[in-house]
Amino acid sequence: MTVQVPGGQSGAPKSQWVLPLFSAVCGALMFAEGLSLPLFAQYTGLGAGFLLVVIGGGMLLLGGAMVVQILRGVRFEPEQAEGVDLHRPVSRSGLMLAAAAVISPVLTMPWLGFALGAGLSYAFVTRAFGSPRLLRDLIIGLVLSSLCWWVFTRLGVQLGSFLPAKLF
Amino acid sequence: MFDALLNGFAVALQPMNLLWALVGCSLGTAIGVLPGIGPALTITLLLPVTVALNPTAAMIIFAGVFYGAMYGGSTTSILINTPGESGAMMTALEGNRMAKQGRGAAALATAAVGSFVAGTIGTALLTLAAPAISELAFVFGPAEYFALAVLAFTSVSVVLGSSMVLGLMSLFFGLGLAMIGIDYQSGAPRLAFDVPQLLDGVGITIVLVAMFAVGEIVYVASRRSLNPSQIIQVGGRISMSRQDWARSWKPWLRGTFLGFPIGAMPAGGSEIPTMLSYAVEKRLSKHPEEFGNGAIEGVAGPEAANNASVAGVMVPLLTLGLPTSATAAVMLAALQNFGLNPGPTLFTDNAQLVWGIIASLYIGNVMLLVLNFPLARFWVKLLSIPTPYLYGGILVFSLVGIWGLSRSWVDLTLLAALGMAGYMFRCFSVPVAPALIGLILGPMAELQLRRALAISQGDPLVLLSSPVSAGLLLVAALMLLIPIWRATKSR
Repeated sequence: MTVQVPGGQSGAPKSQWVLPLFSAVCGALMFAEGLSLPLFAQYTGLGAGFLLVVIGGGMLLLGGAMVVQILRGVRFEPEQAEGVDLHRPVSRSGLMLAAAAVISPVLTMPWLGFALGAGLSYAFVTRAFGSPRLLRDLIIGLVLSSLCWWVFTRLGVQLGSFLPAKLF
Repeated sequence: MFDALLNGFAVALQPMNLLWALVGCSLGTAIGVLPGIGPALTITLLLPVTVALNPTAAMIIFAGVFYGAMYGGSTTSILINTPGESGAMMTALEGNRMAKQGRGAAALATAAVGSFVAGTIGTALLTLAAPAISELAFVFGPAEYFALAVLAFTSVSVVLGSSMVLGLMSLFFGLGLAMIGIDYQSGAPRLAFDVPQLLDGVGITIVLVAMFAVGEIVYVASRRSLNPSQIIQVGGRISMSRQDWARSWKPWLRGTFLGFPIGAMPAGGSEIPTMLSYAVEKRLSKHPEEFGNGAIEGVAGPEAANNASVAGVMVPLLTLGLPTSATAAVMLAALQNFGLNPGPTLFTDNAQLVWGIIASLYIGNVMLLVLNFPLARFWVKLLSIPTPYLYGGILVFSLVGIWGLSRSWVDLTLLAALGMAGYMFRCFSVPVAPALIGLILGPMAELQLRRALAISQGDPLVLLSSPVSAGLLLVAALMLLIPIWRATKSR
């Protein structure tokens, strides 16, 4: 949701600039990549870089449009969803733990195997949602991920080694 | 057409396909009841684990999930006043008041029967309309397909969400993701950054799981409500009195005929028809004073409109390969995953599959009525699953899907990065659907644009040379320019 507030730039929280920055960075990346490739081709008209330049340019323009909107007092508000309370401040611990749950498989799964990696992520998520029993959640996570590994490998989904490949 | 439909029933009535329809309907109802999980996320999570099934079975499950979620959503709207998706807002408004007055059973019954009536009539309209629209296959060339994709891009970006700028940003982000990988024509790598795994592009499944599941988990964890929802208990048998039937049947029909055509329009969605239906029922009701205090017409009409819009969404999806909602975009991705070419040729090339899906929608509607009428209390019990376990389970299933693709750390890194992008989108109410539609239709749009230009030896006027493509591009331009003109005028 977007809302219009009086005051414009002076009242804009820093977080509001994240979105135009994201759009501008993505746009610049695509624009630069597009320019490094041929824009036109002899028979098909369009080269590999043409659409990248259009899309990147579009994102840069949209980033600029968002900056103008923020300066005019438009605010990009968070989304309403089930189980969400927008009146409470953002839980930093919840955010960090949930982010850890998502990032940790990159570090754990290739080396520790599916069961340990996914089980650990499960425990991170339950903790992020306020569950106080870490050890119990870890055990439930390991049981659930082991069960998933067993069922889905039998269904033909390749989940690799169950436990650390180099140890077992 | 009737022969084709009968053949479809022969496919859908096979014991295994009936079982898959039951699985889809049950799963759909369950996820409709559970908080934070929508049909788009469920189908996304099922994508990698249904690869072992044949496409017909998988699509029957997905269609069951899509329909079932609408039924399940009404239960939570009525009993705990939490509309899982925007289409159930009106149901929550009146249905929850009815439940508080001890008329929850009647509200659940009119929602279930209304959903059945609307779903069945909507499917019948789909049966009649779809083959006729698929005849467009003979009119559509590269320029028309490109124009159709542009119309889908603009309509979804402009209509969904609260701001056109945010919708367009989401669309361009999705289009950018679609560009990653080797350019099929020149062989040049684009946005691959010398990472070999990126040369094949970013898998649609990774983007879907990241944007829907991971983004949602991180967002809800950072802003979760500490006040648990209060469930209203329903006493007695779930049924309607003679008066309830008399007050419900006309709203069911009116809701159906509002929901179906609007659902079939690009970006029509379920929000507009349910609100329209509510307004119509309020105006036509003999008891307008009851609206806002628990009017049964206010549940019957919008609930029918909501379900009919789902059948409407299937029309452009199956006939033109045009997704008009996030769930439809995921179903389109599912069809592509199975190597099928969504669009007009689907009816000629894969008639058995399409008619099997349509027939399964009729069967699914009957199943859902049976599942929802006597089992409404059972479905509500699902709400007692602790939220931490629910979201933990979603992440484990997400990891099954992503790790099972190719056991690549690059996929996991993309999952994390795009998941955080999904979180950011939610923090600023950026709609996710345009990004998905850009990702899914982007490569098709580029391919058709290049084909059209190659045929015309580089003349861009080829895009306006046929009335169909010129008309589609004109509508797309108007959708984009009218809001800008209005905003400029109001300033």
